[in-house]
Order: sequence, then C-alpha cells, then structure tokens
Amino acid sequence: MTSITPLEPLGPSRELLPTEPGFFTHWQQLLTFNRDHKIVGLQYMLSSFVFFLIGGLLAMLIRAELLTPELNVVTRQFYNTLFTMHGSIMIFLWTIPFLVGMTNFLLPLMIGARDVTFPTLNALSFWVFFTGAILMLVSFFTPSGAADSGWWSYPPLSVQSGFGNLFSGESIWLLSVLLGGIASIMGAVNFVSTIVWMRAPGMTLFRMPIFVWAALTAQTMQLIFLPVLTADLILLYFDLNFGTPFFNVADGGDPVLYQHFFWFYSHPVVYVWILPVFGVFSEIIPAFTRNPLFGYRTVALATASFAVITGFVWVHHMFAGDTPGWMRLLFMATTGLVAIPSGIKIFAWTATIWKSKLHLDTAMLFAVGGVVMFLLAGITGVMLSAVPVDLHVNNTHFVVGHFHYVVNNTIVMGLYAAIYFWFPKVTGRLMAEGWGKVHFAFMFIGSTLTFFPMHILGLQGMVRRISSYQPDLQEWNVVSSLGAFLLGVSVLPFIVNAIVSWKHGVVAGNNPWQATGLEWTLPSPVPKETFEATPTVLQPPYNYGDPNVVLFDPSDPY
Amino acid sequence: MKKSTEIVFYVVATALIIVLSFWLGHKAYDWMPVAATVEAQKVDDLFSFLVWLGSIIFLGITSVICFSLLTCRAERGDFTEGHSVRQNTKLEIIWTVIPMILVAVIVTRSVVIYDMLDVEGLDLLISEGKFTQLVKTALAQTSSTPGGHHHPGQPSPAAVTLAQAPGAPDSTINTIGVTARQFSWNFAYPDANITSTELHMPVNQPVRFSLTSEDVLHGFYVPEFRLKQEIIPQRTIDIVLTPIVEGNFTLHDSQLSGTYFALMDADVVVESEESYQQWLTQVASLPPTPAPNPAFDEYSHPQPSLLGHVDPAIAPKAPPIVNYHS
Ligand code: HEM
Ligand SMILES: [Cu+2]
Ligand SMILES: [Cu+2]
Repeated sequence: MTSITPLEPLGPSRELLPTEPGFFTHWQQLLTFNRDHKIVGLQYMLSSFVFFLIGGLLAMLIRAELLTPELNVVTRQFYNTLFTMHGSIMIFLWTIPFLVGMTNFLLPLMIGARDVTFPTLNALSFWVFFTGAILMLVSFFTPSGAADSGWWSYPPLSVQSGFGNLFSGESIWLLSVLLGGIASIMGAVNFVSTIVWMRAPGMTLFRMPIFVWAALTAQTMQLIFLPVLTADLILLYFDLNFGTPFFNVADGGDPVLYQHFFWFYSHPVVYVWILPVFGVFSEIIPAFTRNPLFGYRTVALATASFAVITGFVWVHHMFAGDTPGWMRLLFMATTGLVAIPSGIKIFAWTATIWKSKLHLDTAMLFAVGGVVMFLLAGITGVMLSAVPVDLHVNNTHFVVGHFHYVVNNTIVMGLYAAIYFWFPKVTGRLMAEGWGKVHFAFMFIGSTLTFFPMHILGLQGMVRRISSYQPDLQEWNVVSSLGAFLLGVSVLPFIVNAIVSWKHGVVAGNNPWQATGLEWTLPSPVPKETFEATPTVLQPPYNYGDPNVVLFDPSDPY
Repeated sequence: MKKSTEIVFYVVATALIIVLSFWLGHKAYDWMPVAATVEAQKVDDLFSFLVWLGSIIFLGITSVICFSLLTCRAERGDFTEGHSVRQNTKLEIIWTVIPMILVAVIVTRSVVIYDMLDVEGLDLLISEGKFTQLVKTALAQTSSTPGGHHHPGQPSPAAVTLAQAPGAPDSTINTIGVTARQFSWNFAYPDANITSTELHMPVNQPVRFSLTSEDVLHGFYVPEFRLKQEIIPQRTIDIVLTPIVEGNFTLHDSQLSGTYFALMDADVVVESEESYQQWLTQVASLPPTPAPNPAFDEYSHPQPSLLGHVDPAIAPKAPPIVNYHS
C-alpha cells in the first residue's frame, strides 16, 4: 500500500451528442413489454409511487379515525380493512417494487453493464408484479370488501370469513401477494446473476459501491427466504378455499406453524428493504461531505453479514406467543447480534460526516435525516429484543412507532434522498432545491410528530389495530394525527417539484454533484445505449480525498 | 478552537449527555402505567436501564452529527476534498466491540430478569423458596418508595427486615380459568365454582391464569401487569402474575381477533383478601345470567359511520352466561 499511482479517470466521460436522446423518449414506452432495464426501472418506480399515494391516503383515514377515542369515521369492519390494506400496499406495492425499480435502473450503470443478464425475464417481472398490484386494489370492490386480517393474515382469523369464496378479499389478497413474490424472485435471479457475471473489468468485489453490495445481499436473501413465504401462503390459500387442515386447529393443523413460516421470510424482508437504503446513504453521504466512505470494507462486510444473521432471528415476532422460555431467550440473543453490523454502519456514516466539507443539498438532508431516524429505530428495536420489555409493548403502538421509524422515517426518507440525487440520470435535470428543502422540513417534522407519540401510547398500553380507544389516551393521538396530516401534505411540494423539474429544471450535465461512480460518467439523461465501450475500473469507490495519498494498490489481491 | 479548549468542550458535552441520559432513564418509569404486579417492577427496571443506555447512544451520535452540520459547512461550489482518511483499524475494532459488549450486557440483564419473572409457571421458584422472597422484596420496595418506583441496583433497606416477617403469602396458587372468544372474556373460579365477566383477584398473592380460546387467536393483556400472552385455540397456556396494587384495571385483547376486536375488554379488580373472599361467596349465590357485551350491543345497533361496509365480517358470539357481571 505504498506505491503512489496517479489516479486514472473513471473512464472517458461521454457527452450527450445534441442528436442523441435519453432512454425515455415518450410516455407510451411505459405501457410496453420493454426489455431495457432503465424503462423497467421507471415502470416499477412510477407505478409504485402511485400505489404509495393510495397507501398514504388509507393512512390518513386511519389517523382520522384515531383522532377521537370513539368510532366515528369508518365502520369497525372497514377499519380492519384499512390497516390491512395500508400495510399491504405500503409493503408489497410500494417499498419492495420501488426498490426493485431503483435497483433495475442503477445497478447496471454502477457496475458498467449494458443491461441485466435476462432482460426478457425482467420485463416479465414487472408485468407480473403489476397484475398482482391491480388485483390487490380491485379487491376493494368485491362484495365482502378487501382483506381485513392484518398484513400477517394469521389463521384462524384469516380463514374464518370468506371461506370457500374464490373472490373474497382475502383470497384475492393471497393471489396478489403470491404474484408479487414471483415477480420478486424473477428480479432477484436477474440482479444476483448480473452482479456476479456482468461487472466491468476491474470492478472487483471490494471496488463495488455499497449500493451494489446491498443489492447483492438483499437479492440473495430474497432467493433464500421468499420461497418459504410462498409455500406458507399457498397452504393458507388451500385452507381458505379448499378446506385443507394445514393451519386449522380443529382438524389437527397448527396456526403457530404459519407464524414461523411467515416470519422466517418477513423478518429478513425488512433488510431487503433497508439494505439498499443503507446503500443510498453510503453513496450520498460521501458525495456531499467530499470524504471517502469511512471504513468502506467493514461497511461492505457488515452489509453482507445481514444475510446470515437475519436468518436466525424471526421468533422475536412471536415472543408473546406460546413460545418456550429457552426459545425466547435464544432468539433474544441472536436478535441482539443485528445491532453490531447496524452500529458499524451508523458509526461509519458519522465518521464520514465528522470534520468534512459539507454540502447540505436536499439529497444530503434526506440522507442525514434518515440516518438519525434509523438510530432511534435501532434503539427501540434493541428494547423490543429484550423479552421482558417486548412482552409489555408487543402488539401495541410502541411497535407501530418503532417500525414506522424504520419504514417511513428511514426507508421513505432514503428513497426521497435517492430520487433527489439520481433524478438527473432519468430526466437530465435537477430538482429545485428550495421546494426540496420545504419538502424535507415538512417531512422531518411530520414524521416525528406522527410516530414519536406512538411509542408513548404503546408504553401506556394502547393496543395496535384498534378502531376505538380509552379517552385518556387522546392527547398523544391528536398530536400523532395532526403530524400525519402534515406528513400527508408534505408530498405535494415533492410532486409539483418533480413534475415541473422534469420539464423545466436546471440542466444537470453528466455529474452535477461531482460524485464518483460509473453512473456519473454517463450523460444525463442516460441514453438508451449506455456503455458504448465497456469501461475499465481502476479505482476504489468513493475516491474523494487527497489524490496524493495512495488510494489504489495494484497488488491488492481483491 | 485551541486543542485544549476543544478537549474541554468534548468532555463537558459527554458529561452532559451522560447526566441527561441518566435523568431520562429515571423518568422512564413515569412513561408506563402503575406497576401493579411484582413482574411489572422488574420489567420497568429493565426498560429504564435500556432508556438510559439508548439515550447515551442516541444523544451521543446525534450530537456529533449536529456539531458537524453546524461547523463543517463548505462554500457552495467548493468541491475540494474534505479529508482523505479511508479507514482506521483501531477505531473500527472499537466500534465493533462496543456494540458487542452492550448487547452482551443487555442480553444478560434481560435473561436474569426473565428468569425472575418465570412466566411459564412458578414451580421452580416455589420449590426453591425463591418466590416468597421475591414477593416480599417487592412489597418492601413499594412500601419504601411511594408510587411503586424504586431505583435499580439499590436494595431497599426495608427489604431485609420485612423478608423475615411472618404472614408471607401462601405458596398454593389460585387458578383462574380465562376463556376468550369473539368478543368476550369469561373467567372461571374452579375452587368456588363460579363464572364472571369481571376479573377479580386478591392482592399480594400469585395467581395462575389458565388461558384458552374458543375460536381464533386472542391476547391477554393488562397494561398495569406488563406481561402479555397470546392465546391459541385448542391449547391451554398458563401464566402466573402477582398483583401488588389494589385497584381497577382493564384487560385488553391484544391479538387481532376480528371485527369487534377493539371492544374486547374486561374490567379487572385487584382487592384485599377479605373483599375478594366476600365477592366469591356473594357471587356463588347468584344464578347465571347473560352478561352485557359491548360488541354484541354494537352489532345489534350499528353506529352510523361516514365510510365503509356496515356488515361485519364476523358476527359476535352471544354474550356469555355467567354468575357475575358488572
Ligand atoms: C405516510 C405516513 C404513514 C402513516 C400516517 C401511517 C400510519 C399507520 C398507523 C396509524 C398504523 C397502525 C394502525 C393500527 O394498528 O390501528 C399503521 C400500520 C402499518 N403501516 Fe403505516 N403509516 C404510514 C406510512 C407507512 C409506510 C411508508 C409503510 C411502509 C412499509 C407502512 C407500513 C405499515 C404496516 C406494515 C402497518 C401494519 C398493518 C397491520 O397492522 O397489519 N406505513 N400505519
Ligand atoms: Cu374516532
Ligand atoms: Cu424482525
């Protein structure tokens, strides 16, 4: 590590020729069976954003009902449908598909590949997902209404109503989630094989950006864990529609087995969402601090370690169930392990920010905001891993607060950060900073007001999924609901900004943030044919920093 | 800043964070409802400890981030590099090891406390005579610090003397059968041969709840008692709790059980041994009658709402027929 090699450029920057259009020329492309990874990415991102708005609307209704202790906005039946569909839409129609879309768009650009390994499968993946998504939304209009047994869909409740009715909300819900799962597997096969086979020469494992490490880990996890959920849901589908006794206690089935299978996938899936967001933080923070990502190798290894650790923690969702003492304690210990790689990442980002040259553009604000939110989510997560505490707050609003700090305050923040950061690669233009900052302020304040009070409510014993509650809990519920409405409003400046900037924003040029990474050597917007000549990678990632210090060692074995 | 001022600044900031976190950990007891069982006090001690640790970490890291945000801003358009430190092996080892130690501490503490709770049944504790000891220590602590709070790691002086006092609670445990169904609770007192929709129990005595469900999953949860337990059809699950505060509480169903889930509450009364016995004898003379049931009432008289189906997916079962109801 002593030789001083002058840094080679990442590859010749390509200027967009005046005649060369971006990859996205007319909106009808979105309706086609398109094999271009960038179009598939855009299809995924745009459609899931629309679903996000629908899921958000349902959340507004939930919070409207919880504004007062009594039931007065919706019926009890519809309240159950509301939180079930809110949760399901946010997970299966927004978070997962948006991340798939983002990975589709960015991954090949980041590793210098021209497309994914199986472009046709990729296009198929989107349309399978889209069919499932439409099914889920249409289920609102079935005579019995949409699914209503929570996004866990625990039997026996989930098979109690709508038995044998192929068109019940629950039945359609199951089909929809199954289709989403199939689409995810197709995506995962594509992403993993693309990373393994299609990296540009010189893009060794330890030169991959953290976002690529995250995609590799997350998508491998999909391949390992998702089949278990698929099997679980198929068995439940049979129980529901054909009367099989897999989970039916009366006939010797076991509802607890359903829970084990369910969480065997649904715990790891949380990392399938959050790892790419950690990847986003790891791309954005170095660019806006002008520092290399501190401890890059440790962060990369910490990322990969999640694939192993998260396979052994699922029972923490069942601590309050009929779970033997030894199992509770064992899974408490394994759950604690998750704190270690998470801690490593937070420390690494903090050290990157420390004594740096900060630029607080909107993307950076969202990234730092997301890191702070995740810190709190991690701390309440460790509290939940302590069995005695969990037995008190399990199934209360404390848990709702905790996981929204993850899914909304960290993941959604991270996705916004990503949108502000990579917007030019899609549109060729920058989003307006002023509106971006308004969006950030509303979102940060709104998120805190909405979700922090839920921890207090949960500690006081407010059970989740209830449509009415004791009057003495109203104060914090009012704060939470008003916060939620602010959060709802915060999306408006974003939408206006995105639409206006798409057409009229400041022209970005190849690399508006002076960032490293292969995608920034390409023109903005990215043309249809990305890498005309395959680039050769000669540098480690995040090569910010004094060029006189040796950052690259040719004898490095990795 | 001069190097020495800088160091003073960091030291003062760290001290402030630690003091503030300690205070938060202490306040954490107030965020919970009354600790009405022996078990609740243990849970609260653990929670307070976690709040203390968590606050140090949260405040510590956010302070570093905020400090940087305030002091390290670059000029617009200045894209020169910050610094080029890529890694620091020592530092990275430290921040891998620190979480490991913290996690080990938290897990150990939780295991110790979980062992004291022994929610799966107290047989072991009783046979070792540890149980009565536990109750007495807890009682002593409540009497020495009003409000049921006491400070972790600080044994109350009264505990020692009271522990030898006569009249310790009997170790034969009262059993109450708890049956959950959509959407009502039914409590059976096998020794007195009565049933009730209100849960009565004597203070300062361990009670064994034998939980069953007639239909779907439910959850047994009295926030003041802290420990909750999911109820699974066709299984009987026992938990043991020792109430130490007299008063009225509410039992909630804590596992989604269908349309009227939110209405599946029951009144809980913790009372002195005398009034409990009185209640038992009084109730034994009452003939069983149908209990009032909020879910059933609302089902029979649906409330107007702005949005949604009126038809419930799951109709409530008929209200239970019991000796006693409020
Ligand atoms: C836009 C702001 C949001 C608000 C105001 C909000 C509000 C809520 C509330 C109040 C509940 C609890 C309902 C209850 O238990 O009675 C809930 C549940 C849930 N939310 Fe959100 N949420 C938001 C965003 C999100 C996002 C982005 C996700 C992403 C995954 C999400 C996922 C869930 C899930 C999985 C549940 C659990 C549903 C269930 O109990 O089955 N939410 N939300
Ligand atoms: Cu209301
Ligand atoms: Cu989990």
